[in-house]
Amino acid sequence: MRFIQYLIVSVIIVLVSCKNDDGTPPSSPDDQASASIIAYLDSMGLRDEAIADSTGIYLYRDGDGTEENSVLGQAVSVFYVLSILAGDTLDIRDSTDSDTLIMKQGSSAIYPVGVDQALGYMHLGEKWTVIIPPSMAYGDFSSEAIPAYAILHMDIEVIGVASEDSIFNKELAQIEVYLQEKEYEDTINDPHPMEKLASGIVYQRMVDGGTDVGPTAGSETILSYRATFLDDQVFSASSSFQYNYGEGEEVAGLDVGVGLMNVGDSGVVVMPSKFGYHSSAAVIPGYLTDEMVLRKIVPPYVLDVDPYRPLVFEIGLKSIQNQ
Amino acid sequence: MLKRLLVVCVMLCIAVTTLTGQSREDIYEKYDIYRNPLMVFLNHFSWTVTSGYGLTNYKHSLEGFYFLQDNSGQYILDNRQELGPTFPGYQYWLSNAKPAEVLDLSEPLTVPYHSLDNPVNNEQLLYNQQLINTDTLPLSFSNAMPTVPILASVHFDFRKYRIGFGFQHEKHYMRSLEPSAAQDLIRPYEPNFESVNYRKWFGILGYRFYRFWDWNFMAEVQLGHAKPRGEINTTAVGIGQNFFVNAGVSMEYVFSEYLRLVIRPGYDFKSYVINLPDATSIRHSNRAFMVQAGISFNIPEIPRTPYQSDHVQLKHVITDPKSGRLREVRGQRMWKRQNPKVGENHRRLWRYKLKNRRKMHPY
Repeated sequence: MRFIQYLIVSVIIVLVSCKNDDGTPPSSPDDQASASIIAYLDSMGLRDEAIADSTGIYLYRDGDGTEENSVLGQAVSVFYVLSILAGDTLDIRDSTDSDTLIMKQGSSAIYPVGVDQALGYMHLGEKWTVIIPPSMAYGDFSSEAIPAYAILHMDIEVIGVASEDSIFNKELAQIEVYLQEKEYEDTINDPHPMEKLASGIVYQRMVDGGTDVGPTAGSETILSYRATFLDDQVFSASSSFQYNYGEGEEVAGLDVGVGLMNVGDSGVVVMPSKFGYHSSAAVIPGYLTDEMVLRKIVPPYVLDVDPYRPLVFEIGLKSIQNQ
Repeated sequence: MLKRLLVVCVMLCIAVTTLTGQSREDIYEKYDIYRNPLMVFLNHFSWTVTSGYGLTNYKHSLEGFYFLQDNSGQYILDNRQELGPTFPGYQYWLSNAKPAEVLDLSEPLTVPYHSLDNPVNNEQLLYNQQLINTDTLPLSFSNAMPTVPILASVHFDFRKYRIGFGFQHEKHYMRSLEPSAAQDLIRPYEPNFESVNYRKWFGILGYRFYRFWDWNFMAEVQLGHAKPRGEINTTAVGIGQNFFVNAGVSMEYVFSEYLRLVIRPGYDFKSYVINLPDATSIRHSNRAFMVQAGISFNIPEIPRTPYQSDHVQLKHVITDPKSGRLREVRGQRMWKRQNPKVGENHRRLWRYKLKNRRKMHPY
């Protein structure tokens, strides 16, 4: 009997001690982040000035706004300083960088998604400070420099805003320069005429395979390819790549080029980014791209192709098996 | 199997007849008091029926295999094979391993495959092909499945020891099995069946290690044969793999000499092996923890007194009105103490006041 009494008392003690003392449920990381952000803004005297987005992002503008050339839905180039709120700097991108970071706003092509959301408020030439909660930043991801549930602080300067059409036209001009350098249009040395399609894709047959066998929709096609950018930097190659033609399995420009070939032919296809990987995806900072591919946040091709890069494919069509 | 059971029964009978004391039978012989010999024999055995709830932890390791996952399913292949451009794997290795369609080891969403609209956090990324060699990334799947057991057993108690045999039917309700690694990349394994039935035949050995008032605590071990039915392909199971061991504590509340309430938590150790067509095999451990409750009763060796006016509380001898012979009868119902001490069956303790509140004298 005494044993049972001791047992009952022990169970009661354990249940009481496990109860939360103040009776309130534990706060989530998002609640804690929101409280931290508000405390930070209060300490800086910016609480009234900051815009509170419905996603939990807070942002305020440095200086006057231009209200012209909104970033919303456009391709944008930025300089930025990225850091942990009241912590270490993670990345800086400024005029000393050799390449400009260009990305598409509003197409789920920017990670962290909080940066994508914040860019929608901005205009060309403006400088903003953005504070991003973990749910719109890296979440529970952690590394040596980034703690789990980190709040991001980002100073952004919008240095360029461009529409899809203007980018497309610019790429066509770049392709034209590339073709002149390669002398593909020299029909004296190369009797096969270049085919410039209305879409902007350019195809130049280099070797005639001597057959009239071309691919049909659904046919199993085996080819070799070497993929480069306009600066001849190779980013992918294969001696035997197999796919089903005309079923949308690969980039559109490659499919168009293969459609112009016969078995045994070799040729070059140059395509604007619209028919390649278009706006791809941008991970900020760039050194986290490997990790985000591994975590299935962005596709693997982001490792190879930056946003808005025209592509060049040197193709050799080996065989076709019509189904 | 039946021959073995018969031999065990004969040995038990011999044990019972020799172990039960001779002195009491002398009294019955001396005064020619009749008791049905069959009932006397059966009284020595306790019959138990219980049911309850438990969790069976299905767990298996894919050590020594390649694991491939794409949007159509999950597949395994012996990793001693050299991988080529295709993957001739197997699926449903939890219950009935079958060759799957030969898969092409391509990697969509890499160059030169097509791009994705809205690529960040796109759901299609989760179903991209994932190939793992478990030698570099150890991988196993496990989860606890709700289990409903029903047990029927018979045992014989001699002093503090117990020996018996029983049968148990279990129904396991299957859930998806969670991966042990890379949970953000690998989907849970979905069984292709909702439930599976297990049938177990076993022998029982026990020892009463503690007694507290009306409570008996008996440590029990069950050893026997456990076989899954239906959904799990038993033709693929290796020889000798159906053995199981169960260890538990039987807590019995003794109402009377004939009736006990039984509460039995116990832990099951068992496993089975699925052989794949390529002569490899996977061992599946399905250990279980169950809590069962039920009753255990002995068939009374003597009947209740046939006379309604007979209010004798103890076991006593009457003259059988039909045969004229002396016979022993009991004065109490089966669930009450048969030879109670003064006041033992009449609850007058304060803790029974609530229970007896409708009586004229509840206290």
